[in-house]
Amino acid sequence: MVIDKSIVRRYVILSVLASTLPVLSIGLLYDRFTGNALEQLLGEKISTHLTATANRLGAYIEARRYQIETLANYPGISGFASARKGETSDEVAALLQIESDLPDLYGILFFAADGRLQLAVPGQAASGPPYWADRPFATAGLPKTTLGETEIIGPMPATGGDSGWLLLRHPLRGRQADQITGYIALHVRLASLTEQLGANAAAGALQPLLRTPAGDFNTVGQAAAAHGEIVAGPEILPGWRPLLEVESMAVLKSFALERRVLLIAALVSAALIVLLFYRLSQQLRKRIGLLLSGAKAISSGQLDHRIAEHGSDEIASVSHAFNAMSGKLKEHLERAVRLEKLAVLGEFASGIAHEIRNPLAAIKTSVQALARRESDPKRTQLLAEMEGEIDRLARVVSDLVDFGRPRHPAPGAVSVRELARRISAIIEPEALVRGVHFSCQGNPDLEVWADPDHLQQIVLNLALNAVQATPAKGAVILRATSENGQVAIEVRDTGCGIPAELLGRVSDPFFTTKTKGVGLGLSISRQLCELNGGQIGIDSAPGHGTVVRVLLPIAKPCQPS
Amino acid sequence: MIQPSEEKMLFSFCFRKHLTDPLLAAGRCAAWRVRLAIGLAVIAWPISGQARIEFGASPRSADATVGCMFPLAGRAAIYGRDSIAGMKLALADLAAELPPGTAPKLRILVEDDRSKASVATRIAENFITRDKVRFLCGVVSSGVAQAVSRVSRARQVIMIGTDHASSRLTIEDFHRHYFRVSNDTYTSMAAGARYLANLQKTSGWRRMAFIGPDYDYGHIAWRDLEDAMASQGVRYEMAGHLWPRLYEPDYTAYIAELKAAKPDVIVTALWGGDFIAFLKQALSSGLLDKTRLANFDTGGNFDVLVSLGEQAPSGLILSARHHNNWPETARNRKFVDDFHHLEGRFPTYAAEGAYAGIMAIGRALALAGKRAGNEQLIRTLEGLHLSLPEDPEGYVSHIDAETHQIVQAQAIGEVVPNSAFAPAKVMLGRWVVYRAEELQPPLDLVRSRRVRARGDTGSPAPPPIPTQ
Repeated sequence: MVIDKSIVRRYVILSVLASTLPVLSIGLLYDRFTGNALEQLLGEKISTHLTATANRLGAYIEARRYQIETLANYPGISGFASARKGETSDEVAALLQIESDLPDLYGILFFAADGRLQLAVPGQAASGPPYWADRPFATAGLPKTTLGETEIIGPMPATGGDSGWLLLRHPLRGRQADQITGYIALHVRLASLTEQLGANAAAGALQPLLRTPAGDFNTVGQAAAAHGEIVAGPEILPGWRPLLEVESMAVLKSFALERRVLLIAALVSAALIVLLFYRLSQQLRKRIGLLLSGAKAISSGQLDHRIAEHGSDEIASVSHAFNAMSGKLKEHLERAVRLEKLAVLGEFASGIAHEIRNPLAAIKTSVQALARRESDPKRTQLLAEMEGEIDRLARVVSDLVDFGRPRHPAPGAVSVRELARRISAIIEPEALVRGVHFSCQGNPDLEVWADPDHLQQIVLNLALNAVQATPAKGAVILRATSENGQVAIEVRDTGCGIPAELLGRVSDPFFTTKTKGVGLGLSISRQLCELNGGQIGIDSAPGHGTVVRVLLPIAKPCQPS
Repeated sequence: MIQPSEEKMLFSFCFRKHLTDPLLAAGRCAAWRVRLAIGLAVIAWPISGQARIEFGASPRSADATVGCMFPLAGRAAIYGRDSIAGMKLALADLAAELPPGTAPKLRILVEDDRSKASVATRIAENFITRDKVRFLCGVVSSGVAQAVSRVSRARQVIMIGTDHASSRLTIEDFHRHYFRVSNDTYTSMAAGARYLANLQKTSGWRRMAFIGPDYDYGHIAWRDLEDAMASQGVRYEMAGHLWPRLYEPDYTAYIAELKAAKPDVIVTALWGGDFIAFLKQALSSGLLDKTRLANFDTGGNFDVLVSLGEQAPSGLILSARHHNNWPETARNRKFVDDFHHLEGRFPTYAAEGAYAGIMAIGRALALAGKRAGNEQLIRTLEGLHLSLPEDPEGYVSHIDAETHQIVQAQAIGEVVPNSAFAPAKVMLGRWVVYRAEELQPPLDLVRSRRVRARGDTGSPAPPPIPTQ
């Protein structure tokens, strides 16, 4: 039969979908959510960071501009640089000393109106030029940015062992406001300005930079070349603005890695689930296929077919049930066939017996009459033999009648002890004649629930068969034991045994291996046994004797003697 | 100390409005002058207030008054406290070592210079004018020391530097009234260059970075190291120079730069609390996992070793101007034990510097006479031999007449477990010692640097620097 809609296939597909779709859906949703969140956060963070940075930078420059503007307008400052030694104002000198004594300033410089450096007031952080003349100090060539009256000169990048700096220079005016007599400048530490950029917003990913007309500088005041994507902040002065160098790969590095891991995990999970279910479905289909083929074989009459049973799961149970069912079915069919056969034979035998019995009686009567009148001893002997054969024929007919129309059993408790005694009384003389040792063993206290006559006939038939099959000096043992709530009556002989090919047929009616007999004894025993609710089994091998085992219901439990 | 907010307030006068409203501006300007006066008074206040510490001889009995300036608050306060203890030990040792009655009676004044040149200048002026000191002494920061040295030169008062190290003070900025009794950057870097040259032979390092405080001490330390490396013929690639400000509170950005530069060796001139803060951040950031860190001038100071706790990073190469466990001489052991007895703790190198300063003054006065004039004292100090705790066995420190710089040996070591100097769990060990003679700057180098500083080589002459 072709299966159009395999339950296994549907089950597998549904299971795969049910297990992978949530994983993939959640993964995709999470990916999208985190992507959007990161983008939004980064965007907001960068924007906020740049605005705040611009404010800090602007405030710092404004504070320095305010400082230099204040100094430039302080009375006495404009003439301080050009005053003769000893004529300088102590107050102004003290003010300059205090003002320059900041870690952000290298010093305060005075320039002449022509831009020539006139005077340097070193601050606490002063080092290198112009405070020491071992290296030149020059402002020529540096960019200038105008902030009102104040000029921002530089920045001068750090070189060799010198730090970077910038000047905030303010004009000094004489008595006439339009006359510039010189300049005063704050010599500002460049790193103090770039430190306003703050720490890296995201270490390794966002690099804050300060763009100036002299180039880009990093947080520690070193000249820096941007390699990544640049996000520019608000302009704080013409040409001056904070930047964020965004190394997008670095920003998204950890996220992308986690995203990739998540995707791979989802895909691997889905693949594993599909593989797992595929393997399961293959196994399921294979085993269900075996079940189906077994069912097909049984349905086509192959009752000997057995389905392989693996494990102890549901399919194994179904396989076992199938096997048991086919076994029972075969047994039932065999029994039905046998019974049918027996019924037919019985009808036939009864008919024959009925037709033979009356003529035989007449013949016997005639033979007996003839024998009484006969004086010739030879004829008398002949008639006696004839009568004997007529008796034997009558017994055969009687057997046929018994076989064809068995009496319904009248069960009762039959003592094993009594049964053994009766059988021994009948069998022992025959055994003695044949030189066979007959003995009874087992539990004599057992009681069998069976028809007493039927039981005696069953055991007698079996014992006779055994004695007849056992050569001289052999032994026949009748044993009775209790077994699983039944009584097992076993007849064991040391005879020649039955070949395997004949073993299935020995209980068929009219089958015999003996020269005498009609082959009904074992058939009748089986028939009677089954009528009494029992079973009969034969175990034999050539050269190893035969064991016939009868199982019948027990009448009451007994203890072994 | 004037805080930034005070500073802004101090100068929040009216120039913006002055441009548009002269009458209002005049009133505001007057008010601002009052504020300036208050500000200056704030600076001057410690001079006459309780911040002054005075010990030694009484004003009447003193043969000489010594005015010392040290930081007594903030990150560098330990240097001031240890210097005071060191000077007390020097007074005791002078009395014990000189024949009875011959030891000069010294009156010692100490004030907090707040690590500010302006404050120190004012204190020095007041020492000279009010207290009639014959010697100026001390000063931790080279930036501050240069300002005080200018006062010393202008007022012709002898200054004994005890704890600042810029070699400019004895070379470019040399003047006859200035002497220094602790190792300078030239000495430390000359020893450091020799150590690095040897290290290169064993480890093969190539890339070097330098990080120093952004003031004259840091920069001249680099120049001295650069010159010493050149003189030793060490070939290396420079990975960068970084200049954090003095008293920088956070070195994160600098450490990130150093990590990015991937140097094999980092040489630093950060000192005191700055070096401790940097070291802690460097250790926790993993900067020193693959990079060696050397501090040849101040890194082996006792407070640094205490700060390491039980950590003994293998990559640290340190030295200082005095060590509690080197040299193992009776004199050094006595100094360290005396200090511990006096203070209940072990000294930083500042103590030995200040001790040496008072010992030099005392010895010079004893030799030249208690009433000797400045010129006589200068001649005595030039070439003065002083046995100091820092001297290894068989060596006696002396002051070089050409530079007025004390000539001493230097020992460089690595951090090793050692709990003999509690609370420190580690000390320096595996010493490499450099003789004093090989660490002295050659005379022609001294002279050429002075010539360059005067602008005699074609470079523009330096502008005048005011010394009020």
